[in-house]
Amino acid sequence: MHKTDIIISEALINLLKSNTKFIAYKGENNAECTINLISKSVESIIGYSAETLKSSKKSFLDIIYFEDKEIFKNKLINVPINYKLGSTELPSKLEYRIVCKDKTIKWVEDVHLPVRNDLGEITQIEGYLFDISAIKEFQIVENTLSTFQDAINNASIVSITNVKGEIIYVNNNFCFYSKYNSDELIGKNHNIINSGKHDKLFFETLWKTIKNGETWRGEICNKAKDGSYYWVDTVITPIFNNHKIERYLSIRNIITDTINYKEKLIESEERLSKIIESVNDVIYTISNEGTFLSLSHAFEKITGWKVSDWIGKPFKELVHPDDFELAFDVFNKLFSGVPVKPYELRVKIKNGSYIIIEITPSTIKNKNVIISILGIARDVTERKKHERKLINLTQSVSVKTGVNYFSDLTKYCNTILGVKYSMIGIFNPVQNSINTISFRTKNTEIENFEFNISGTVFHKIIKNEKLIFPKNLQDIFPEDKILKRFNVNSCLGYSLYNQDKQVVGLIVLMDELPIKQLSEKEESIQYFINRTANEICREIAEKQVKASEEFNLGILSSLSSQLAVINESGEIIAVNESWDKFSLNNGTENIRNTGIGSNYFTVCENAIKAGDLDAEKVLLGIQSVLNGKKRKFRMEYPCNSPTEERWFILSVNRMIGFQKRVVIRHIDITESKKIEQKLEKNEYRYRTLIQNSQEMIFSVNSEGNFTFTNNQFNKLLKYSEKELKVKNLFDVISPETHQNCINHFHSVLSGKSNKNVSVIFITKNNKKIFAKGNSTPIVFNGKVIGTQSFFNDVTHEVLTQEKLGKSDERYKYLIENINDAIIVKNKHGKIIYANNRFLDLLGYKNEDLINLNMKDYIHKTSFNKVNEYYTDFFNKKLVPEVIEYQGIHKNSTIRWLEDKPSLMIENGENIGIQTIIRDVTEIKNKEYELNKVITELTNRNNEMMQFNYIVSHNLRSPIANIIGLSSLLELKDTSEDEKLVILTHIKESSLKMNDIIKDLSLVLNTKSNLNTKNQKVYLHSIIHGITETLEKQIEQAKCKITTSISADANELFSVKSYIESIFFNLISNAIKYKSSKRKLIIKISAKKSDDKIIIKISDNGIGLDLKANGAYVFGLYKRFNFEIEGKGLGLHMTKNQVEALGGTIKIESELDKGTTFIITLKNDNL
Amino acid sequence: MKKIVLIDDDSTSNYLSELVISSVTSDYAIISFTNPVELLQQIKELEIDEDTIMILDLNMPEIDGWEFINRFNKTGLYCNFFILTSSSNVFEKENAKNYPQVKYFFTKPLSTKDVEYFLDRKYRNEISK
Repeated sequence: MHKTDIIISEALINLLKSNTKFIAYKGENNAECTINLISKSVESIIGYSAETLKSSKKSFLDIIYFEDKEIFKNKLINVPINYKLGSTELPSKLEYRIVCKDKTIKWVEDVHLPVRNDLGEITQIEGYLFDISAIKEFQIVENTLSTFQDAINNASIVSITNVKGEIIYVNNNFCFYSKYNSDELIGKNHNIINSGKHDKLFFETLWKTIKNGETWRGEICNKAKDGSYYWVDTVITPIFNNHKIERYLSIRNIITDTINYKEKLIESEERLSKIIESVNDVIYTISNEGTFLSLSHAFEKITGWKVSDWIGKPFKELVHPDDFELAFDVFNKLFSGVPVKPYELRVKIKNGSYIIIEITPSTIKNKNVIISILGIARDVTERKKHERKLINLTQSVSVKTGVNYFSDLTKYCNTILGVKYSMIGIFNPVQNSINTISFRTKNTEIENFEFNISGTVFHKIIKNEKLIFPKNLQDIFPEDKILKRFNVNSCLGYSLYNQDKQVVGLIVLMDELPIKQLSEKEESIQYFINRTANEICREIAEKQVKASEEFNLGILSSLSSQLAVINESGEIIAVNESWDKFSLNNGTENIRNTGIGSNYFTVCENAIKAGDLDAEKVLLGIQSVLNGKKRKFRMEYPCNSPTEERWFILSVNRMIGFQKRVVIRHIDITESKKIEQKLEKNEYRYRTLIQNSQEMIFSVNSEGNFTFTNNQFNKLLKYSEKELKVKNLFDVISPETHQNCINHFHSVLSGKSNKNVSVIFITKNNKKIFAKGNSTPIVFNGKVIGTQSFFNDVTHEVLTQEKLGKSDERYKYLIENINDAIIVKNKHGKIIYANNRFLDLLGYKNEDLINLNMKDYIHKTSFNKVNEYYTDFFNKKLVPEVIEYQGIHKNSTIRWLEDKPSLMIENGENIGIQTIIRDVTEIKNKEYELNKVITELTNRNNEMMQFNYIVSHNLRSPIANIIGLSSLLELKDTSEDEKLVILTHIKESSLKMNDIIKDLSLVLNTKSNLNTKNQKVYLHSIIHGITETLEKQIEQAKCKITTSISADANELFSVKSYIESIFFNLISNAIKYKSSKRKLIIKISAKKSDDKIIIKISDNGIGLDLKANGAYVFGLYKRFNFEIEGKGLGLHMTKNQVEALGGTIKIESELDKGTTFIITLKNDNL
Repeated sequence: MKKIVLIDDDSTSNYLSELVISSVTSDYAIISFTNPVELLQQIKELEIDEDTIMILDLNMPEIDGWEFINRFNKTGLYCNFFILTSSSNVFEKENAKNYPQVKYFFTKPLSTKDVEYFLDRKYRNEISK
């Protein structure tokens, strides 16, 4: 369960960084365990990171709790080297404490594994830490608590109730006094022992106090099962859990003895019998007025007075005047409820002298009110003769405690017994020795005198053998130095015992002279022995209680772990609330019977018989602790209830102070177990992810040795993980990529992440694996300690490429020299091969191919369509079709491409597309030109139609006139004069018709094919000729003509008559439509652009409204001005002539600004 | 007196039309224009009313017959138009549908029958038929 199978690799550590409460660490195998790595969660748990440790110059050992440093060193750092090279080591576990940064101490369980180098030497320690503080704390608290519980249980009546007052725990004393057994009490309301002697208000106050979270103190009368009453001095304390009252703890001390004499006798038989036997003791009672109420007969015997003389008389008259103060002080204290320890008084007897009496006082109460004092007095005059001084001194120091008190004891020991040295030692059960607590020479306490007695002398003391010098002194102080130093020549040693007759200490008297065993001193010695023994007992008890009190009493009952104390025979003698609760609610048949009084061994034996293997372990474990073979025993076991899966830890610990008792504890660890399981699942998931990744994942250390390889990597390389673990990365890399990989490796080790690294791996059976991937550094403590790589197997792709490359020469020759371009793409659309024709076609070089994408050579207007087709073609295996698209040459010009794809199939699987690409740009261009010509012809045809229409229309006008006029001539009533006019009109119309027909022949001439041969035409001379012809008009119009003809545009190869006509028409038009507002300027320019000559003729004349008339400007018989004569033929003719020369004419004009004609002519020089 | 206005850039055509109209009726004053722009400039003086008949050629320089009607409409006046052209094509007859005041198309030369016809039917729009 504790991750025994964890392989700690860098990759895993990376993944485990988050959501884990484990601390993974890695440290050097040196004496200090210098930390190299601590997972990031460390900061949330122990507060240190590897960096902070480093910066504060702390090793891992430094933060380990001082008590645990040794165990850590022994087990973790100094791992024995009985290790066979290559063998698998299992992690081992160790529990120790860590002092966190915030000074808290945490218990951790360390699952660690040494990291070995090739020689099997441990170089580092890797481990996981599991925070077990909570469990450990319970264990420690439990030990103390069991002691504490015991102390309380022995001394007081203890019960615990829930908030409703129902009893959930009672101790043996409770049962003893109430005369119920615990089964009769548990679950019952506490009022089962209600005596009915207290009124309602009494309990209301009680409940109000404790419900407020305060402690209630008071005396309560309870009623036992047999109907008898007993008074208890009660303290009730609420126990909190999460700031909420959960329980009430009652601790009671019986006070009935002082109220009811008879009950006192029953309760304290020992004391009663003593009183009865001691006929010398006087028992008396005194009223609150200080007068004797009763006196026993011993009074007469001791004092000589008659009892009847003193009844009703004040006690004061018997007391020595010097003791008045003491007597009244005691009297007042007793009546105000303050308990008083036994004290001594001098009392006047009948013969007038005084005797010393020892009085043990107590009070008699009636309904909580002290009504009288009860005293027991004894004549101690004889004893006191020897002890008087001592007793007074003892009393005066009785309030003191600890070493001072013992120091005083030794002081008086020396004084009273007349010895030079005395020593008191205390028994230490842990070390089985006696430690000195006071050593005094005459009047000086020797400070820091530490001497432990063990061995033979110790055993003698235990056996109560008196030590007498000089025989034994050497044994007590084996070192001569001390004897010399103190000049001890005689000694008397006495063992000190507690009530159970167990040795608690030692008192030794020493002197330079032999000590006389004087009988008169015997009593004094005995006194010292008793006194010292008592004090030591008190001291021990006090220490125990003190230690216990440090823990909240509430923890006992609030503990969620179940506790039970069993004795050596397996009998359960105490259980806590959780135990009871668990037995009642959750247990199996066996566990239910594990209340107080049942036998745990029997339970286990029954379970073993039923086949429970765990039970056998438990039984052996408990017994091993009981017989002292083991200090503790611990095991984890599942204990499923019908509704849920549960886990428990069972631990067995010795009970402090009791050799033959053990505390059994069950802790429900289901919650942490579940978390642990979840974590394991998570971790499993991560590992599964990495292991089952189709990528090859591996990491290597800075030497290139593998630290982790995943399944895919192992599978492809045909090695087992184990085999790879002892290999170096470069062992599995093909020599061809060796140098390249070394470069990459060093680059990554320097902290860079390298992408698209190409590697050829060599498998175990010597095959090549082509891989491409990324490699990143593994950085810890700012240092690169290795690399981590993710590679993809690209062997398929590479081999496809290679196959093509290696195919037979003829095929290759064919492909390379074919007029069609051929490219091969892999399934991702990446070009993996292209022939020379393809490269030529688009202007690329072979080395450009690696980075060439479809987007680079397919025009964006075609890309989506083409890409879609390819995808469909590849996936749906469509019948190949020729697709046509615009490609882009490297120089950005457009090429028309025709593309016919075919699938490449290997082993029934599509591995790529092979396409044959043809450059169809020429065809496309011709097609384009053809379309252009068709459009032009259509336009021409339309123009012709228009021409025909206009001609017929205009020709018809004069004919219509002639027809109409001539028909008028035929009319009889037409006069001769009229006829003459009509004839004039007929003639006009005939002439008009003649003009039209002339124009028509002219137009048709230019429109017909140009048969005229081209000749050299010089623009300068043409313009010169025209200005001569138009000299008159130019002069009349006061026109200025400027020409700007560039040298290369002057000469052109064309039809001279047309060029002349064009210039003539345009110049005469400019003169014709000059503006009356300004002087006419005609600008003529010509320049060469590419293989064309652009001629511009512009004027500043009246201009045209192109918006209205633009469409008709070049139309036949289109005129735009009534004022200026014209037939609307010139521009039409000009246009026809320009077009006949293969040129174009455009007009730019604005009303009242001027007009510019732009003529573009081809310059056919040849 | 009612008016007939002749508009044709060919003055011979106008002369011929004048003779033909006056041989049929003397109820109308005949006014001839060869430049439609000139006519529009004098339009107020002509006192054109609903009884005025306009005989209009379509093919003229500067503005053609249709443009003339557009500009005439802008004056706010109304009269009946008859188109007289040497040859009319379907496109122009189609275009006439946008002009309700155009009543009929005649082909040159204008005959006495044509005159009788438009005098008789001047208020009817039968062009489309």
